[in-house]
Amino acid sequence: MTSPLYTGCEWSFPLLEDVYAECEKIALEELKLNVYHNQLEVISSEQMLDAYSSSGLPIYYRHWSFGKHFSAEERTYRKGYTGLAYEIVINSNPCINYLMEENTMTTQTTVIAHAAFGHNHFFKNNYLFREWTDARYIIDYLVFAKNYIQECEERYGFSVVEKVLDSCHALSKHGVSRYKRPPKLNVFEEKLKQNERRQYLRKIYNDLWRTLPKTKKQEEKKKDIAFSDPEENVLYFIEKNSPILTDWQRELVRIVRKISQYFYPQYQTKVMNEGWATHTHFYTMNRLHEKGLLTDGAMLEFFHTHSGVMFQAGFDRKGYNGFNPYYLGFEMFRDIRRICEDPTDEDKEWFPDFAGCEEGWLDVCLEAVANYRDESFIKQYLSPAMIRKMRLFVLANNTKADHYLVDSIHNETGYKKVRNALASMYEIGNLIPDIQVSDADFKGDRTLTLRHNVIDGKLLNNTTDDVLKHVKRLWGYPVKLESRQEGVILKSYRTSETPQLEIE
Amino acid sequence: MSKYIIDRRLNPKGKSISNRQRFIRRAKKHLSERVHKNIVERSITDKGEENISIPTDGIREPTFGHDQSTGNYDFVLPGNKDFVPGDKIDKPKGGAGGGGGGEASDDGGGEDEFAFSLTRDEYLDVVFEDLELPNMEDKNKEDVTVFETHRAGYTTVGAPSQLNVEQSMIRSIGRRIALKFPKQRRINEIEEEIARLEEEIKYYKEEVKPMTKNRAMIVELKKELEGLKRKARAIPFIDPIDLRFNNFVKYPKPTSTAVMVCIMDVSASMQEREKELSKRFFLLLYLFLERKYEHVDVVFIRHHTEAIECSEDEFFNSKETGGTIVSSGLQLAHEILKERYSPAEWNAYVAQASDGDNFTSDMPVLERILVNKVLPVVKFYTYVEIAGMYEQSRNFWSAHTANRSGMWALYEKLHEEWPNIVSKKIKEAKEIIPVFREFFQKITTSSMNKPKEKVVSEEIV
Repeated sequence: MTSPLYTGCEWSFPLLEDVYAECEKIALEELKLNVYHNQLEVISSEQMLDAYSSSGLPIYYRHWSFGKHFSAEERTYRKGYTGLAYEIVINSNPCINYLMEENTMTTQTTVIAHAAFGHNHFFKNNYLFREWTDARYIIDYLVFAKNYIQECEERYGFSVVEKVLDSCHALSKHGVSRYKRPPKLNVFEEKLKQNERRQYLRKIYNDLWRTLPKTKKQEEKKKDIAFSDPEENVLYFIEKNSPILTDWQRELVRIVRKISQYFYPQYQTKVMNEGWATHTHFYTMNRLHEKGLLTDGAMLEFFHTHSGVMFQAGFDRKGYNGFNPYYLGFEMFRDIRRICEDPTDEDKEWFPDFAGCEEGWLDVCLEAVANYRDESFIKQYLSPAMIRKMRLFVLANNTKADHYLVDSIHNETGYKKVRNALASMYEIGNLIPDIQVSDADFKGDRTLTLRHNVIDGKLLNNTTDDVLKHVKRLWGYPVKLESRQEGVILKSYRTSETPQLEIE
Repeated sequence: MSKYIIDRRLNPKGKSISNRQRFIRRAKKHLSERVHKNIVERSITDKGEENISIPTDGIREPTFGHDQSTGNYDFVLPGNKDFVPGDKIDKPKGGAGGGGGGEASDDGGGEDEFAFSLTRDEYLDVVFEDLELPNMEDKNKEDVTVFETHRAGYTTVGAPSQLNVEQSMIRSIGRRIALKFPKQRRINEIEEEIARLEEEIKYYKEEVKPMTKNRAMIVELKKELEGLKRKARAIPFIDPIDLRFNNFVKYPKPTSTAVMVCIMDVSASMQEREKELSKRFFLLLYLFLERKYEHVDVVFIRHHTEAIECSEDEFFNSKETGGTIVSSGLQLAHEILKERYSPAEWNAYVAQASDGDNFTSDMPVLERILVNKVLPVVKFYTYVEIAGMYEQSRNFWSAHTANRSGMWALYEKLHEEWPNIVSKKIKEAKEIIPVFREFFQKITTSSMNKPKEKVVSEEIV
């Protein structure tokens, strides 16, 4: 039997190297993972707090809202209400993994398996990440964004830049084209484009142009922005069509939009991503132990950490805080393995495709990782066994009733209902209201009309008027919003009528 | 597969500082309201970090979201124990659906409050925002005795120990390039070439092939080599004109020490409440001075009919009784300043707290000491009169009735001539901050008042 990689709890750089090499062997050879190059960075807790406030990104433009989050995090951490994360991993190529200095060697090993291989593989292979994010250019783009915004602040003043960003942030979740695959980011091209635009303007600049009356044709052209389809990417629409924004302001809108798009896959794959990473570290740690590379003590410590992360309270318990994505995801991947290796008759009926399949559980899992997001993953793979294990039940909410109705529980007639209901909780339209630009009255008073497509009668909350003020700041002219369900307007909102032609 | 392990722990931390400053600037209005409220409620000395919660308006970040109480939809919960289909569960009060689960207001405080911690510095920044120490510059220009050395570029002469090798070498290289210092490579090339040519000559017997061409080339090359070598000898590698030395310049250092003399009346008329209010005022002034000066000395003088210098503890806690002769305190202050704190090195501040009582016979003495001995040497003299709890009306009148034999009247009179003496009344703890701010704002405006300032500075000199 081989001797263990380490015995104490202190980590060191040579040990990290050794552990990484062993984890890599398991990940690449046994789990057949396909990952970006890794960059492991050891950071202190202070730096971890810093990283928190910028959504984990190593570099971000400056804005007060990050300072606000930092202040809140810092307070809860210093008071001891919350601990810090063990790691942060960034979807970039090379994949940046932050390891906390305070971690023990066992935690570092877990984190390497979890982030450097689990998350990393997910980033590289999941279809949402592949299509909506650009791991290679993101860091460059963030540098570009930071510098650009800083330059704007110097040139046009803090306060106006802050105002534009505030308003963009209010709409950042609505800055993604959900159905159209976006073009890849390329910082060099972005910069080039911008420079060209600037050079061109400089070349053709002549103050006289301003005094010329616009020809009829031009006017017509402006009015003719046809409204064939509603636009779901509100920020994109504003960037391209806002009557009042200046060039640099449009660029700011674009920056917020692009960064928002980078995060878009993350909140749709929380369960799968964490589940897969947890599954990877669980497999790796067990294999290391089997190989004799981990001591029993280290293994016990690992189980302690692991079960802490996996805690899922029942709905009536004090610690209940919704579904724990780590737990749900991990158990589902384990369940898939069980179905492949040791299926019951029920599994065979529900999952004829892969129950007891010959090619092995790993391929089934890798296939799921590559081609699903939370909603479809649950719809496809949540088994009756899991529903029984978690004792899931469906409550029906009716606005008018003063009680919830228990609709289905974990029994023969309820499984499908439970599964569909859980899946739809992860549907993007349920997480973020579906809001689209339905009209912009270019020929008249330039009112911008947004449409909220109501799903299941869910209306908007009381911050809506505030958000609309932000939309108006970017649009300059009145903005109205209609919550519609099947053509019927359930509620409508409207900002003040006075146009505001400049952001000041 | 390659990987990198990087130790980032030594990288600069505090990347969020700039964001945090932006946030604090954004929240300024609410922040200063809360801070000013909070500072009078608590003791000021032991502030490491201060927890503050502020209203969320102004720092709210609205986004479109669902109203969880509306809609007809299904949601799933884990951990069913005994529910069967058809059971009804009462909705929790307040109407929040269980679906999202506790994402509402965990980031500190309630829904309308945002809680976070301010560091001591940030806290004091807010407290002392836009306050200025008056007359601070005068001293710097005139009574300079301390110097500080700063780097100031390079000079051509200096001590060998200050030789700056990098700068000297830059010039040496430049000079050698300019003078076409022969390249070693060229010399080597020539030498090799000569050697090769000589080899060739040796290869053939002279009778067979005289190799005149080679010989001519060798002569040519040797001539060039000679020239280059001569040049190399003539152009020194490093020349005295290349040398650069680090230069240091002495700057006058502004006096960075201050002494604060606290004078308090501890006669029978000063009760606990009065002392407590004075203490708060003194502490505030101390913190303010501490931010402006590197080092602040504090001298405590308590007096009734006679004055003694005492420790901080005695100052605030000992009980004395008796009548009041204010001039005794001032006299002692003057002696201490004269003895220990030379005006060339120390900025002197006097803070006096009293309930305004003094023996009538002492008033002329007090005035004389103030005008002749104290006011000319102090930067700023603050006087707070603690109004009695029930005596407000009496003090009010004493302040506004001419020729009333109160200290207030005297100090008001002196202020006409000496803008560096200022007096204020305090009745309750919550007035301290506004009064304190008035002290230091008022002076900035009055120092705008040119003629008056001129008088002051002349007499101070």
